[in-house]
Amino acid sequence: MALPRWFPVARKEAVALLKSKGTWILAPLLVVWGYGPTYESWDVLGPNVTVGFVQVAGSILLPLGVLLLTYRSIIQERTSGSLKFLLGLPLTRTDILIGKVFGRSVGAVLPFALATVILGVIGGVKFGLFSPLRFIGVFLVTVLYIVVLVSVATAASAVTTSTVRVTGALFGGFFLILTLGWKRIGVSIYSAVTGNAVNPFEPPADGLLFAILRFSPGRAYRTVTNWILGTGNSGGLYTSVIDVLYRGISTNEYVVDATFSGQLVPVYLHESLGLVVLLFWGVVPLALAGYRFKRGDLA
Amino acid sequence: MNRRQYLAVSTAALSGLAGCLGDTEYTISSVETEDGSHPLALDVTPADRAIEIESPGRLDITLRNTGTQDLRIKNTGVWPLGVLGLVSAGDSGSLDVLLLTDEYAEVDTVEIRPNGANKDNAPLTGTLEAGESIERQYELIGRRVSGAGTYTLQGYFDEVPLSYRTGENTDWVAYHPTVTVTLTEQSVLS
Repeated sequence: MALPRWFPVARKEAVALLKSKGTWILAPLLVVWGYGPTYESWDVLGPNVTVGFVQVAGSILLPLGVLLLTYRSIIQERTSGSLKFLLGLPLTRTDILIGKVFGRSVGAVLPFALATVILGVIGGVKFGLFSPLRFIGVFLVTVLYIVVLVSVATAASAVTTSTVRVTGALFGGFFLILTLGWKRIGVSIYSAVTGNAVNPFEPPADGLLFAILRFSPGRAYRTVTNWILGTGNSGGLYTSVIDVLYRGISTNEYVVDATFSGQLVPVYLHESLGLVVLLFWGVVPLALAGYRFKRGDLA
Repeated sequence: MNRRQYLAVSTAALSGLAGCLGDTEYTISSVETEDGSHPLALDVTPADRAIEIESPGRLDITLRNTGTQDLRIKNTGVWPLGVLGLVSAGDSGSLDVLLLTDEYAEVDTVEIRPNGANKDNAPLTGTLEAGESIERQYELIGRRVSGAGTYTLQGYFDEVPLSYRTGENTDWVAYHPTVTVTLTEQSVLS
């Protein structure tokens, strides 16, 4: 079977990333970031607390690392002029985008996979045998999240004409707003749309509020991984969900099970739909960027 | 920095930092008991010194009648040792630590909640015959420990865990031996 035309681009991108020390520095950082056992999480999850470490590793530090590793994928070639040389090869612009996303995804997934294995070994030795299905499930969803992040970063890199702009768009817009600050911004959007103020410690049982909150790829990722972990229906970190649901602590984390207690939960708030949100972020920005990239000027 | 140096540095950093974001675990580093002039003796022995996330520390507490007469023992909660706790000695700022025992689940006089406990104050009495001893095991859950330091073992609700008397017509005598338990933080590299 013939390899796709974009395969050499993907291989070059993956090899370049895997030869970089920065890529491999991410692995130990993810282990340190992810390993955070608590007495409460052990009480609720038992040995599966190790699976929770993977979710924590996949939150905040991983998106930042993946964006750093991929945000210059196209813009670097555009500003240096090597993009014109690349297009001189028998490749379409779509091939270049797909090759960049695929190759950089592989380059970002491998250090994360190494961190996951180390977390699994440390957790397995200390806390005993965890559910391999849940562990693999959370790992695979995190791999999907990495591909989504690479896709968004590549899309931004393809439609901007300067490194400053792509840096601002990705770190000021995507990371700061959609990853770190979405809980506050999502609530503000909900309040602006409905006119209802939200007390974060006692949120209203309104499906729209929770739907807006999980539109963020990071919260969608945690919604799906919390579902696999079995902690609860929420886009918060599993430790925060445990605080709300099992310790009864009033926090500013939004948990469907606590807010809709005794009420019918809208179907669109099912955790599996977090996968649809992730797929949306993986496909739509790249498709829009591809449309513009194919018709844009390379100067 | 070559690849070998990088691997060595990153492994050392990883080992040193692992667990920084997790909850603190403790070790029961010492237990010292001082009995007064009573016909009772209390032995406190660590059955499991490690207070870890996945397993609590354990203290075996034995109450012995060292006298030649039978003793009536009165307390509340569960007989004969009651609801015990570790109270911070000195100004360490640590909060009291409730000790747990399986017996709480077998009685309706003690209710344990995630962040506290309730106890029925109805007195419980029983006889400890001369030379007899009773052993109970109490657990130290790390979640309930607010910090390392030196603690005094005593009743969680009442400072005096039990009283005794030798006959029906004698007065109840408060029994509160001095037991100090020292907890230290576990090293992340241990």
